[in-house]
Amino acid sequence: MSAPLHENERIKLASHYLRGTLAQSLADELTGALNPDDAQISKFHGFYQQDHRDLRQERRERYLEPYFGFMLRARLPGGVCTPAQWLAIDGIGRELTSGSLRLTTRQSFQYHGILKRHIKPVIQGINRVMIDSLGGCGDVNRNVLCNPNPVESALHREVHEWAKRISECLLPRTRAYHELWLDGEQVGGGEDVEPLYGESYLPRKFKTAVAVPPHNDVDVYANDLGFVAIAEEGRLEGFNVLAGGGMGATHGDKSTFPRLADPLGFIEPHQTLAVAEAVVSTQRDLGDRRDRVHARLKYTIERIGLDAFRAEVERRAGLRFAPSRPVRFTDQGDRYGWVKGRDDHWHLTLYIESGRLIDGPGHGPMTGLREIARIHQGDFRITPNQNLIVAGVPEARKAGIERLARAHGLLAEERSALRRNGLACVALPTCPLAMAEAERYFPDFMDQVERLAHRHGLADQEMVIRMTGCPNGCARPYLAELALVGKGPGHYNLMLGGDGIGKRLNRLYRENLDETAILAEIDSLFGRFAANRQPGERFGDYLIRDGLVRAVVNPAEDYHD
Amino acid sequence: MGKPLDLKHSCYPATLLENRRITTPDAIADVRHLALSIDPKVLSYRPGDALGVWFHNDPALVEALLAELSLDGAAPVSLGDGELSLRQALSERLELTQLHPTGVRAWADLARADDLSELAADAARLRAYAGERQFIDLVAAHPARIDAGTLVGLLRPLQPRLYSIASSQAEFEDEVHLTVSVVSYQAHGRDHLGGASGFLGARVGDRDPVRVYVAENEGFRLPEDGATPVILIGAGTGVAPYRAFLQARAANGDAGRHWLVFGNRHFHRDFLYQLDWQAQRKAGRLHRVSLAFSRDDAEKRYVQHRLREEGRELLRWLEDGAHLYVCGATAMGQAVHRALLEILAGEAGLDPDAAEDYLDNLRRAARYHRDLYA
Ligand SMILES: Cc1cc2nc3c(=O)[nH]c(=O)nc-3n(C[C@H](O)[C@H](O)[C@H](O)COP(=O)(O)OP(=O)(O)OC[C@H]3O[C@@H](n4cnc5c(N)ncnc54)[C@H](O)[C@@H]3O)c2cc1C
Ligand SMILES: NC(=O)c1ccc[n+]([C@@H]2O[C@H](COP(=O)([O-])OP(=O)(O)OC[C@H]3O[C@@H](n4cnc5c(N)ncnc54)[C@H](OP(=O)(O)O)[C@@H]3O)[C@@H](O)[C@H]2O)c1
Ligand code: SF4
Repeated sequence: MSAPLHENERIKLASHYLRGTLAQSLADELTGALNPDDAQISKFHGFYQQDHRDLRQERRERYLEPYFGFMLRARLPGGVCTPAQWLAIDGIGRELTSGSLRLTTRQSFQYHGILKRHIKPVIQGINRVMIDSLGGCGDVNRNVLCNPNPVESALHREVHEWAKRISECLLPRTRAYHELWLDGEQVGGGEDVEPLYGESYLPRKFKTAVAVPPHNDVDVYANDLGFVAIAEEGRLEGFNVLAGGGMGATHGDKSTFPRLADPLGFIEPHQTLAVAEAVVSTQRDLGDRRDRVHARLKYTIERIGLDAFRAEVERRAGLRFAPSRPVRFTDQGDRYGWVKGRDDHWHLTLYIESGRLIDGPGHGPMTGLREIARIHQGDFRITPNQNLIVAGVPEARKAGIERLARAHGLLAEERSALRRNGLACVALPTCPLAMAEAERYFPDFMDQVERLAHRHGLADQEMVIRMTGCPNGCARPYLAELALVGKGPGHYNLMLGGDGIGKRLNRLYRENLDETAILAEIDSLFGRFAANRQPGERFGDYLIRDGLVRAVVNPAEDYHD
Repeated sequence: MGKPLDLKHSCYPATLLENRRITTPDAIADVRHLALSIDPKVLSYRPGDALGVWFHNDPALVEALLAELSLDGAAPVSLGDGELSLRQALSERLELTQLHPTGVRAWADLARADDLSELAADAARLRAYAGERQFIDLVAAHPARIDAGTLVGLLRPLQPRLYSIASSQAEFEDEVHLTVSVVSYQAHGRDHLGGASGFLGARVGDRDPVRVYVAENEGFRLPEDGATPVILIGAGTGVAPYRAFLQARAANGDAGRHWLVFGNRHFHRDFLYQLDWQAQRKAGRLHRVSLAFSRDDAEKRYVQHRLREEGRELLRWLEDGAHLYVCGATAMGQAVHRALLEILAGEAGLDPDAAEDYLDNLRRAARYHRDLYA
């Protein structure tokens, strides 16, 4: 039965703790690309090789290689950064990358179009303001999400500290990052140790999130490892721990499915890191290294069973989980506009369409944020919905910041409730996995949806709508009330039935539709919803109640029904 | 440059197989890869040779000139070997896109343009003036009435242009490839196109005959011994002959090492034949590559900068008997020459005279080859 290890396992093992031949790849002037093996290893250092897919054919005809550029994703636990850091991030983006920035669904920022010879200056640049990209991508723990709750200021600070500690604890220990990018000293061959990960790291990517109820903006159930903060009177009591969530699926492969994380139980704060390490090491040892499609923790748990998995984690962490505490979530979106925190400071959530910060004619979100950063004294928080919070603004500075935000089109006010809760992944032209458009097409698509909503009197309806270019699910489409998942150029699977709080997976409703067919379906569903909804009922809940969509109960068994 | 005996009569009608732009739309120069079909029994060439190309002037330019001078294109004129129409003479026989200083002087008299006469008295100013104009610019700036006969007497006969051959017949027996940078600029209130490069790049149609001849170039040959290492230095279209060199050496199975030193403006836009060089390296034939993209960064970097950085390695190659080749614009060639002298002084500790002697000796030993053009 024993299939060979996946090719990536050989690459990791041979990489000498993530060095590979990256140094040679960088020095090679003849190509803007990396050696194929190094293109895998680079992910652990936070960057992906991409190429401008629209240009491939044309460039080949000109005897030019593809237009290679690199996407670099920083590690920024909980998405928090200072104005000084922001100014540095912005400056590097303008000078050394495609000139734009993208806020990600994992509360970090990404640069696109970095040329090979600029990778090092970019990494050195962010390093100067104490930001790194280690583990931004790759088979390790990725950026740790944390609810950016600006209202519960003290609680957020405490929980955010835990997010940072988890991130540090799950960080690779190799010196390769320092050696390659920061001109750190070379450490002799055998001296590196990777006590948690070992030489092969994890079988697959690993995602961790920390939620602070009642907000589920981090989509905690979509993560391999989730911590749900349990607070009493604003004081952190501990966490409900969840494991085995994940979005990715493969079209046409019924052995793959999105999955919500299962509860492991309640722990006290001081047990957090032991549990995080135990979950990671269990997945390190038991995860499938032969088949990357089934290598995420969710499949490991399906394979060995939740009870056995929990027991193993308890054994490794040297503790017993207490019963999970009851929690209630109310939303998975962002709260736009100003809110006042318990510490009397104000917090402004800005609207950033698809997280994309690029200055266009007459529209300058990047400039706007730069100007805000110049006068702001609190911090910035990137949200898991790719927006940005200007946090910790004293009453006296509110007006000035609002003026800048308004002048640069950063306020959500003019956007419909539908659009404000939207999420789209990067997809074409840069993502190598994209099968259809997402971010570039999403605004046009939403124009059409808004038109239909208007026609059915649903203009003010809150609704979570998401779009991705492929089933990998970077924008967590399977937790949306309505989602389009790219199937081929101009064609999508229409997914329906999320609950708007991230606790119910949606289900495939119609396969491989073009825009006309999608809009016709939405038109008819909106019509039925408008006519039959109960007061306060959400679209996704209505679809389930009316039997239009059957709820997913156990995706391993009923997702593909 | 070897002398073909009789350009006019040894001319061969090649047909255009392919004309593709190989720089991106946002590149500064419009560089074309041209493939012409030839009969190998009639036309043969060797790596290092150039192709002489006859061309017709741009019909739009001919009409504009006729209009400017209020002359009738159908008017008969005689050009030594018989009568033809003025239009045909301007299109096929006379130089319109390169302005010669004597033409300027003659026109100054005809137009009784005092300022022009004054300028023409200063040789340097005259050369500069002529160097940035076509005949029509002169006529438009200083109108005069002349007849058709006077006009054809004033213009010099059309000359073919040379282009380094970018292919090897060992690989493409019945084709010849060129790498043509289309001269195109805005000046004096109109768009200008180079005579030959405009013809090749923009006007020749598929299957149109192009009259060509091989201009042998004995001074720019690969070493006799296929095992001899070679250093290939070129900027812009100067890289063209090296494509031919590598094709020839590949076909021969030669074991010599190759070092390409190439410069252009932007890595992503005008890295001419990038895929060819990558394939050659993959096949084990390109051992070292040094690139200089002059406009990718704030600071200009040219091939000579790369050579200076790698002076020690260059000396090592020369010690191993490497041949040096330099091809492309004259200014680049001169700058490379100076860089070589500096390397010999800096890395090998030669005094200036000894460094000159060293390069002279290389040249005499046919190990330092240059093919430069303005
Ligand atoms: C041995 C040899 C090999 C060569 N190989 C190649 C090759 O491989 N590829 C290649 O592209 N060329 C090559 N050349 C150059 C080529 O022969 C022509 O000189 C070139 O293509 C220009 O010719 P043209 O007829 O298009 O332009 P012309 O009609 O000759 O016009 C050129 C003239 O226009 C004027 N001019 C040009 N630019 C400007 C400007 N910006 N402003 C004002 N005036 C301007 C100048 O007076 C210039 O002399 C080579 C030349 C030689 C001698
Ligand atoms: N300039 C034009 O528009 C144009 C168009 C067609 C043909 N031509 C002529 O056709 C030939 C080839 O043209 P091309 O565009 O392929 O190449 P080119 O004009 O020679 O330019 C090639 C590269 O050489 C650089 N360069 C400029 N001056 C140099 C110097 N002194 N030393 C070393 N490198 C130098 C250029 O940099 P920078 O440009 O950044 O300085 C560019 O990166 C040349 O004879 C050229 O004059 C010119
Ligand atoms: S969901 Fe698919 S297309 Fe979109 S960014 Fe992720 S991998 Fe790319």
